[in-house]
Amino acid sequence: MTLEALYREEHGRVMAALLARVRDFALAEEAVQEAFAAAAEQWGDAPPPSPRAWLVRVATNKAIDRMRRRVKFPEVEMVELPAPEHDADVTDERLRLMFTCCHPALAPEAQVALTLRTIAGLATEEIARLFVTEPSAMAQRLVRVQKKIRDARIPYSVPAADKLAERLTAVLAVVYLVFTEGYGALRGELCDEAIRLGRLVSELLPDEPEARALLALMLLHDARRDARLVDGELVLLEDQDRSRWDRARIAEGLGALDAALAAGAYGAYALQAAIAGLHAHPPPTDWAQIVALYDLLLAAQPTPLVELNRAVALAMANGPAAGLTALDRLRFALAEVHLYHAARADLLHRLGRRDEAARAYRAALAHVVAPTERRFLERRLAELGARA
Amino acid sequence: MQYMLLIYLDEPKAAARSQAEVAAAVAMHTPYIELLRENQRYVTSKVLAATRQGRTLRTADGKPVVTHGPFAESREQLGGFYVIDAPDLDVAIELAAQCPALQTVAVAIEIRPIARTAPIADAGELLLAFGGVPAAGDWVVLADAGSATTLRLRGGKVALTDGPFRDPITACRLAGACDIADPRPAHAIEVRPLR
Repeated sequence: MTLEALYREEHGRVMAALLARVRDFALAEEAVQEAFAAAAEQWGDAPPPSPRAWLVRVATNKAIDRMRRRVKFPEVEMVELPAPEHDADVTDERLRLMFTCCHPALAPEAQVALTLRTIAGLATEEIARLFVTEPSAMAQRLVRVQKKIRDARIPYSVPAADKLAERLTAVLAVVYLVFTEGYGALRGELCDEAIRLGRLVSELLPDEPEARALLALMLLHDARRDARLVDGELVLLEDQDRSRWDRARIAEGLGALDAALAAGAYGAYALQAAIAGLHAHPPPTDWAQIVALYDLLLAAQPTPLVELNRAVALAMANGPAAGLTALDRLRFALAEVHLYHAARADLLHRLGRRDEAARAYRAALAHVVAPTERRFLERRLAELGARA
Repeated sequence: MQYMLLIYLDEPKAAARSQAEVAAAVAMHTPYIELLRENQRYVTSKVLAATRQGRTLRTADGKPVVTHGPFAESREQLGGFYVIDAPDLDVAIELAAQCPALQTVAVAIEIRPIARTAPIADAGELLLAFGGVPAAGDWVVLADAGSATTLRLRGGKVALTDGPFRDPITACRLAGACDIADPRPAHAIEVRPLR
């Protein structure tokens, strides 16, 4: 394994192990960076037999060195733990770290940034790119979060059973946000990162069906990643080349979905995963069942976007006219959202109302941002024989 | 570690209450203080008089200037505070969420860790420093505003936000009378009688 791959793989675990010893984010992070730098310098082609234990040992020593030099902060709390000899001695503390990073007293953006930084091991520059901000601004934001964790004493622990469900919701929301960012911006590496985090949480909390449902949802969507784009252009689900779907991801996703449903998952992630699961089956798609699932989702999450998706499914189940009536209810709530106009345009087109369809596509184009989506809408408009 | 729970209220709304309503709201704090005491979490608590009874000290051209009223003109003003002792923020949040003020007049409770404690005298006025810690006197110094967490009641549930409620208070002090002649390096000191 290259050192870079090792960094991705081990950063979260080493960081979590170090924070179990030294209760200071900024100090731990500096020490972990130094340990990886030392590894790059000293290992050469012969990494030690237990690289993770080596990193934890070296990082701990670096942290102690830094603390001795930093007389200004004598208040850093130290917990005496034996230095690990073997990789297996390093207990997995990443779950604790996740709950600290996703603490509700931290701004949602800060939670995502800190999780990506400390658990996924993303560089500050990469996170800045994700948030479309300057690396220096992101670095400052990360410093502020770490300072708050220290100054306000945000605990480094897995919440007690009576608080777990509520706090887990925040953790899952962060993971899903990373995924949707990646999926929407067609950035596969972020989707991979989110799936890695999702796997981690569902493995560490095997009794939490919602965590597994989220993993299923991400896997089932991600399975279509390669089929979603042909020559850089977006392809609709119904037009996708199914042979390009990732069968292994679908199998894993369906397995996780079954396990989550059997364990009693019934939240928004489980319902969305169940919908994605129906889409993964060979045609004909069971649209009536999908509409029924959207009805349940709408009860759990009454948002205009869920209603929009339900209307589209309804059009497939009961015909475009029924879908159009359902869409009409959203004309104020989603007046500025391109997806609403695009869905309307498609239904009008199917009903043969070409002029109205063209107008709706133009409205969608007025609000769309992503270039791939813009080109997709322009193509649809051109198919109508109309000009933008 | 000590945390200060700063209780912000809608002042005109609080002032419009009948005496009976005020008495009922105040009575709700007795069992809360009892609960804090039983768990060795209670340090102190005070109720402030309305801002129109207060005054604010600033410097202009190096000279102290006193004006009537609060530092910030707003409907929402500090109405009182608790100082509690808690091992971490989770415990502080749990205790703050139970504060009866949230069920009555508070629009928000800001939780601020205390960076440096000072003896809290039993005195008639509270001094609030903004933008720095005055050089003169023993002040209770609050941790950086970035470490604040604000609680609000939304739809019957307690919601948390990251950061202070408003212009962050940097330090506070109880005093017999305003014995500070110069707020610097703070921007201003608001002086509020206690109730």
